Amino acid sequence: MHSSFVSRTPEQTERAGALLAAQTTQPTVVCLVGDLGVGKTHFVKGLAQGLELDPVQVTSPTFAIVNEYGGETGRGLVHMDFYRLESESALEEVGFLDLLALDAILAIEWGDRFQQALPPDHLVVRIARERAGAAETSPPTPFPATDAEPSASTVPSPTESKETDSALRVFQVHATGPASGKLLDAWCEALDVAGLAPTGREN
Amino acid sequence: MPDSQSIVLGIESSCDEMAASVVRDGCEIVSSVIHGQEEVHRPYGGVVPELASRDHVRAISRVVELALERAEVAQGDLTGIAVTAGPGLVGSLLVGLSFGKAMAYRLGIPVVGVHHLQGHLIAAELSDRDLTRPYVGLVVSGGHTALYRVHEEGEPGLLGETRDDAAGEAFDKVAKLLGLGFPGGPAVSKAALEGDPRAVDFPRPMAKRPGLGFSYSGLKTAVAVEVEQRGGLDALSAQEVADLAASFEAAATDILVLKARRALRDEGLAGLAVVGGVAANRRLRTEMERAGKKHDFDVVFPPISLCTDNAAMIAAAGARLLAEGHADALDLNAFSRVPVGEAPWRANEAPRRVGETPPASTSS
Repeated sequence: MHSSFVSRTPEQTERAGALLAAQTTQPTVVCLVGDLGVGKTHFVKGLAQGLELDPVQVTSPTFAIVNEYGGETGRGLVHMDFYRLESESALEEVGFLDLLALDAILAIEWGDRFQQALPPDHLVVRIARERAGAAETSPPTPFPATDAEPSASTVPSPTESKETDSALRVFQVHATGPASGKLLDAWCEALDVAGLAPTGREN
Repeated sequence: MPDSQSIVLGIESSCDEMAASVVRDGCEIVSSVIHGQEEVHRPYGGVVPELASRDHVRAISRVVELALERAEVAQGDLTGIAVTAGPGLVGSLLVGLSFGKAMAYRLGIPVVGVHHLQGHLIAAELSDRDLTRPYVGLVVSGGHTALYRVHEEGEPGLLGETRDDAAGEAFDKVAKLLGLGFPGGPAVSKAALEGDPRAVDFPRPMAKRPGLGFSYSGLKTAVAVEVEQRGGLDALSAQEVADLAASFEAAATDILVLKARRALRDEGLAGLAVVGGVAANRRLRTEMERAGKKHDFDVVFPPISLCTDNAAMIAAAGARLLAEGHADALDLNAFSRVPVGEAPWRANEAPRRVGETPPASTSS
């Protein structure tokens, strides 16, 4: 099952992450795929928010490989990065099997590097910066501005567009099993309700 | 101050490196061994590929043995053992921690858990005896970018840190974006030598906002966008790569100088220590020293060997903690994320916050 949507700002990327986390009913693995600087860590900050954890605490896991948040009460968040791992066997050294056993959302940046090591039922979230004139599948329609920032998100000030970058982010999400499929359904519905309508869906 | 009779073994295994060191009297580095950079591999007939960077279990006894051998110190001469207890990769930390605890138990000497970043801060004091507390410490490495107030006693207080990527990580990732080598710091700096730092006006994230936080994610993205707008990496000339590297390096180091100056001003201090792997960056050194001359503060940069991860800094920090009476129990545990100034492995002690003065010593 596939779905796609578009995010205009880092805030919307976070919002999408928060909505996903809020729909989880069991431990879930999210494989994050996308080039440097597309907003993978921003998305994970959103996951933290959806789990009622402090998103400010969430920083890049590239160096540490694993960062764990919460989990003392309620579902925790494990933020991993496969970017620096030399081989699949290195997963054992970083305690990957133990992490899979936790009641947590396990969000893995560059998770596709060792996709065969992931549990068969997981969610793949691909994020791409939209290149001018290179729209891939369905032409991305930006989702409406959220009520949190009505104008700021649509009309970035000159300084802001210099500080961040104004390109759209195209999200393509893919569920690899029944549990992740159910989660993807719930997430799409939540995106819809929140006014962040998915632009394309297929089963 | 550490007592003048101590011989402390330090063990550091928080991430990629496995290191051991012997430090005498809390300040004299007698030996310092780092797995991978030393002839730890020699007994196996050269570097064996299976000895992966994080394969600490196989490296630890040899690394510790070598540190003692080089120091010409017998196990029985040790007065204490200091081990990194966090932050770091728990699996890696546990190797050093378990080894250190077992050794301390067998020798009947105290063991103390050390905060990895506190170790980095101590490195500055190890290299420059004139550096007097309190001062501002800037830890800037592949995994951390943060400013601390180093109090006269006890654990440092956090003033501000990165909200996303560390500065060293940004160097590594920009090196990748520009098709330069690894590690990214030296590769970017080398390319930057031929470039114009004013070629592209990259953002200085968080510069205009008040406070002492950092953000490097937006800068990294700005470089990615610039490369893309110029038609991708393959379309770039060598001069363009050099200009982008120089412009990125200028932005990355400007922020560090600006925030360090702001921290010194806010704290009313005139001493700055810059530690961690990125402290090796030449532009950062030049610009920080220039700012120091202009705005009247002293800057200490430890030698590179003490900037990158090492165990001498852990031994020195541990010696100080032991002298202050902080030995840990044998149930000492590893923690993946620990704010500096807190020591969750020392559960009976309340954490101290920025600006708080250390509790008055009750011992006479």
